[in-house]
Amino acid sequence: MPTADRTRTAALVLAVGLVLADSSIVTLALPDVLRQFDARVGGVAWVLIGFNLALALTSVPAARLTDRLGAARLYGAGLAVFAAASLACALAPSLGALIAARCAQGVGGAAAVCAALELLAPAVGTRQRALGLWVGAGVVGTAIGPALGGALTETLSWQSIFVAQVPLALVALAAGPRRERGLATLPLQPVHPPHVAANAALGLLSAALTAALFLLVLLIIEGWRHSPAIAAATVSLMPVAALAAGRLGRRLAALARALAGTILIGGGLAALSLLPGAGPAWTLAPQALIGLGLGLALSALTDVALRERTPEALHGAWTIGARHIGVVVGLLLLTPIFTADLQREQRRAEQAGVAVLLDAPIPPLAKLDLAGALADRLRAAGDRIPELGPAFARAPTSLRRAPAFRRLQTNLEDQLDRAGTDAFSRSFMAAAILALLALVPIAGEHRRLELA
Amino acid sequence: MRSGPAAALAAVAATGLVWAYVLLGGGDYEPSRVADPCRPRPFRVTQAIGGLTERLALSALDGAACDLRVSREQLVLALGDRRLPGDPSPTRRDAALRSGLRRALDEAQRAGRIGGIAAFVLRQAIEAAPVGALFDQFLGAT
Repeated sequence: MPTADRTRTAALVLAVGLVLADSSIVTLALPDVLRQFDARVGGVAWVLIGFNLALALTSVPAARLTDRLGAARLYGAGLAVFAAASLACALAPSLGALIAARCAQGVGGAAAVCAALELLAPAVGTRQRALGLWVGAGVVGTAIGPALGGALTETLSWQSIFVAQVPLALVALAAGPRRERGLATLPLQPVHPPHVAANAALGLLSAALTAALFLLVLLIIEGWRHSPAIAAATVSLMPVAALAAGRLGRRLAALARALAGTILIGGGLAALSLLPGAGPAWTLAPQALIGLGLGLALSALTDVALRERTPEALHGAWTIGARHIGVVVGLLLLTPIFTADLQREQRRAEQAGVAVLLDAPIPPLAKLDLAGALADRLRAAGDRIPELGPAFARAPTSLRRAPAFRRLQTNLEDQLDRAGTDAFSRSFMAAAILALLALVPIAGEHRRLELA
Repeated sequence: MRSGPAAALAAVAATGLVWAYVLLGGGDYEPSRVADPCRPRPFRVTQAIGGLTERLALSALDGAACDLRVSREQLVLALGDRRLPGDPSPTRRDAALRSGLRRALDEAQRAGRIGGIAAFVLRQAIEAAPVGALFDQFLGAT
């Protein structure tokens, strides 16, 4: 492949990965956004929902526009909008402004991603290879997003996620194709209708995967009170497993990959709903299953939805639309379950904590002092799970050294961990059900998938 | 490779992990359930200083919570700044506190921690004293 084509291909792959990573990249930054704008979980979820909804709703119209404007022009315009909107996200003075800028990112991103599919084929020579690169960039981008966002949030700030996207988008814009060549001249009127079963399964799996990315990160940071860096390191297992699945799945037919992947995602999410303890280590095995499932199922279903269907950009847009509508549905379904459960678990944790405190074998006056300090921590935490350490640090040194006092702190923190973990349990189970529902359209299209 | 073996392998891995997590206690990893306040606890005094007073207070809380049909822990949280389920009137709450204190004295007497005369004097005090107001003042001071 000539160097110029290689550069163009790299730029197109970068653009697809960058845009689709944005669907999940802010996940780890959400707790910081929550604090900065003094918002609620339901409100902050719209930072994710806004982007995904805009991407879902504009991807098909954007693909249709490639006919009128030309794929290269649309790609450039889309990336320019995406870069400008990324800068607006970084500078957003309020949650409303951030959500509006995220919607603009989604619109620009939809144009760039749909046009990129049309532009990849002439750059790499074959449609099959173009499709593989387009799907792969999307899967890796989606899976790697939380880890990248988490690392940036931890080392710099949540705004740095968006600042970093500006030069990357501009590089993808500058190095990308300026005009279409060769293969990208198919008519844009749909010759084939969208593949309903594959797109429905993609939507359901994406809804379920939202839980894996959004809820798991919230569980690690808010539920278990770990840093974004720890959360980033933990959830980075998923993209690694997804990449490994790409190699494992090479010999499998599309139906086998779709079925096995869906079962693995459902099983991993069900295991997350039944965690036997608190701590990132317990999430590793479920994440490995989800990552493998993600790598197998998403690529297989996208492959099926696009293969032998023209025009390709339009069918690619249908898959993007289905996936991101799925993300939005997942967020809208799971966020209320999770927020209601978090409130219920806070009440249970308070009562369990009071019981532990009342029965602790420490002097009654020390108990009363500690109760006051803990009540202050609860009030300061508001809707969130409180840090208990400062309340215990206020006790006299002689008391802090007493084994019964240290045991009391451990027991209280254990109750918080239990509450934090249990608060996510039903949401993960709901996500597992969504994932397993994807088996229905896959089974319905058994024959067609087998042939594909 | 056909879809059957791959799907079966995935199903084995998925159900195996879920089963392992359930066996390790996954279904029960939740905050401890609070005890039923109507079931008496052993009247054990563990602290030398203030231990008996604390034990009496805890038994009284159990008794009052049982009377109000809430948990001891809900009652403690309500004595701070929360509302109790059912939102009982101050009179109802005071009556429940009195009932709890009576039960605490009974338990202390049965455990041999308080003599007959002391119990009689304390019982008279419970009936005469503005229990709710004293409790509120005590909580305000702490």
